[in-house]
Amino acid sequence: MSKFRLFKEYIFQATGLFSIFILFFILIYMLYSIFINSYKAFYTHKITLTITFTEKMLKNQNLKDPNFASNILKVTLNNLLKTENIKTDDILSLKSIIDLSNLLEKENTALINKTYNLTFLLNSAIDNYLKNNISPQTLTPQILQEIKKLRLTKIIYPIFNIYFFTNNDSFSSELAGIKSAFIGSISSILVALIFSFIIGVSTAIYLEEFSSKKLLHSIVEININNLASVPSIIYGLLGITILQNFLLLPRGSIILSGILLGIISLPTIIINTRLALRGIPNYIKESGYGVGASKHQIIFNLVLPLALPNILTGTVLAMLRALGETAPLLLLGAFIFNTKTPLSLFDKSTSLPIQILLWYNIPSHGFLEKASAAISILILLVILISILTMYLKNKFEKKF
Amino acid sequence: MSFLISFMLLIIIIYFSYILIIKTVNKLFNFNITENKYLKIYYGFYIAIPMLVTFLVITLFSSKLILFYLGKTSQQSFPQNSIKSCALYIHLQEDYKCQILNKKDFKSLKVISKKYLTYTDFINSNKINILTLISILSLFLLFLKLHSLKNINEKLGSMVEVFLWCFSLVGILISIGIILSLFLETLKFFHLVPLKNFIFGLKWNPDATNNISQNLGLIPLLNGTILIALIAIIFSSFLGIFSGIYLSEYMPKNLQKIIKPILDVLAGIPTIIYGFFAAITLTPIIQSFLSNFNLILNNESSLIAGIVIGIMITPIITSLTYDVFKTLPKNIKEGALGLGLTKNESIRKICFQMALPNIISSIILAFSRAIGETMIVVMASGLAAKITLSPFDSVTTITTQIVIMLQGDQEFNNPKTLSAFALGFILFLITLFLNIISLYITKKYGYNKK
Repeated sequence: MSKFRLFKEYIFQATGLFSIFILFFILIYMLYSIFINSYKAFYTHKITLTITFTEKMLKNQNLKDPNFASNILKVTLNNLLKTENIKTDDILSLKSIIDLSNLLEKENTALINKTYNLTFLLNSAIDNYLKNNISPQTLTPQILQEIKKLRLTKIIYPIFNIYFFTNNDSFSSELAGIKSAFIGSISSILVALIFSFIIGVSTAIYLEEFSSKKLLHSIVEININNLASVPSIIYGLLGITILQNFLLLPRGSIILSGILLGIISLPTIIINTRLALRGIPNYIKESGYGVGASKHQIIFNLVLPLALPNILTGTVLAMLRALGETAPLLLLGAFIFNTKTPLSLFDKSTSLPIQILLWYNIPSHGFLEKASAAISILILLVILISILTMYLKNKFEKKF
Repeated sequence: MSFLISFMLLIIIIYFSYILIIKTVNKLFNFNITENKYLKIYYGFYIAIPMLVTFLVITLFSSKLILFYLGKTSQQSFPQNSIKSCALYIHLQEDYKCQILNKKDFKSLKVISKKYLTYTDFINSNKINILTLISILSLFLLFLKLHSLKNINEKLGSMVEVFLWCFSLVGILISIGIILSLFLETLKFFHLVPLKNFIFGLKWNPDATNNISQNLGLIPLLNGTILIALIAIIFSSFLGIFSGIYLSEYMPKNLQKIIKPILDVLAGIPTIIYGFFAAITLTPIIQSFLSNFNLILNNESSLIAGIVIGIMITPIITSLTYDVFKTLPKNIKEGALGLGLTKNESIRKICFQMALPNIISSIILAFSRAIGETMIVVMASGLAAKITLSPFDSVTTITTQIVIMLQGDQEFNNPKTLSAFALGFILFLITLFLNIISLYITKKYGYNKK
């Protein structure tokens, strides 16, 4: 009998261990699969072209004309590949033409009789082929052969994809980047932080320290607990009717999404701040009264500084939630193809999670890995910041 | 940008007027104010608050107030949008275009919008003048009150209290706003589509061109939502409860301290990541697995969405179960062990019984999270509104339809756009109901440390 009971004990423990193991296995597998998908977005391929500018070439030409730059590139490519029927955009990205014509415009006649080793971005088809994203049949056999040769002689070489961080969104996968989405995300989070921190902390102080048990107090308390568990998409509906249609904030702008994110994270901040204020023992306040301080002096000089580490931790965690919030912003018109960097709070902008959704919806090759890369940046941001805040909290928190 | 510039100007004006006050008061009364920190703040409040309030009123409500005033005084009433756009045309010196907006009373519309234009121009050009006027007025008031500034601390205290009270009203305003905005738009919707058709309708086809009131039925959406949430709960409750128990009772304390924060971080991972995982990685794996048994899984199915939502809510259930088991008193566990029970018997027969209401309420809370979840469902469960119980089919949910209805162009007199608000209202009621039940269970039956 006792052996049977012992066996049951082992079975119980094994099930518990197994379920924890499964939970962590799935989560780790999720992160692993996303990271594995994403590494291809972090490098790109470039080609080195040697161009010698002669006086004959530049004479009587409009140097600002992109067609001229394109022609030069075409001639160089055909010389390199020893053919005559390759167009520029078969191999190079459109950005390379712009780069070259910018160089021509800037240097002008100083270029004559000089030889440059210039590096250019490859276009998305060849880039995707070199990353094994697409089958070789999609390229013409002639180009394929030459590309293989150039790859072996290291004229085409892989390099870290800086454009992923410095470019805005684009239709061609070798140029698309997260800059505008990242700026939009960070600035709307800052707006949300200012909005929700001021209102949230002062509400929590009022509820904890000033209000006695009155009608208003109980209404506010019930309200806030309910608001914390309302699905975020309903806040999106609130944003449409009140912020967009009544207060007339422009649709899709940073300030609209920022204020909405602030409203979403407000209940969490209030609850966290109240917990932090409750953690301060009474004798500290009483000693303050004993010295002759008034109530607001005690709150702002004694209680708040002591509770600040916990308040800030709660705020940062709420902001991280807001950073990943997608559904309410979808309703507020942030789901747009944005090629401009937002410059003011009233500019249209996407955010990082919405950029992920946009890239996920594009069927052409190379965008899925961009989405994975954006996700891995988002995850790293969330995990690193939360680990940092937990470390700082443990360091600065005073225990009573 | 003009908003930002005028805001900066406002701050500069406040600062200089503050310095002005300090200096004049020091000279007049031979009184060193800068020593008293609280007096400084009091003066600052006295000047800053009226200015801020007027600034906000001017920037946010001035055009509305003008329109209201014009509507009261003039004999004919025009829609506000046409007045605004006509004013814009007059500003661009293309007066003839006003005729497009209102052919009949085109002349009187022009007169009214000219008035509107002059008023707004006046207010915009005199913004700073108005603000300085108000700052001077409040300065004057301050000088009148200077003799009674002895109990400055008490006054500041009451002022701070009023300030904080105003902020705490924002919480109430937001929830009133949610309820009102949902309710009003839903009422508009029920003018167009009868309540009976909406609640009991078996068809959801918002793109239907004729007879749309027959094609907006809630039942298929409710079916999809509840099916997915049930799959999620079935998947996550077992995992969550067992891992919570193991974590709190068997795991060494050092590991507990590491794993609990990790769970909290995992609960905060953005849901779009789970959705991406569901659509890109999990669907092919489970499809190939099920094809061994000759089962066909759609590319978008409630099974995948349910499983991934289950993964998302498991950390919540785990950490709530962990918290309950940590708060149970030690002497009960030790007493059970002393009577000769094994550890698992004491957990199953005594601790689990005590913690059961809390665990159930945490599961209900997780269920309401699963119902309100959006991004996973949008990416993984599809758009087909069907009445089905098969987990392999694609279904659609309330949240998905809200996103679909409001993502593009919005027309606020079309039942298609308004249906999103009705759906939102239903969603709000369901989640509110579930949350109240879970709160009630913990309050009435749950184990509390006190």
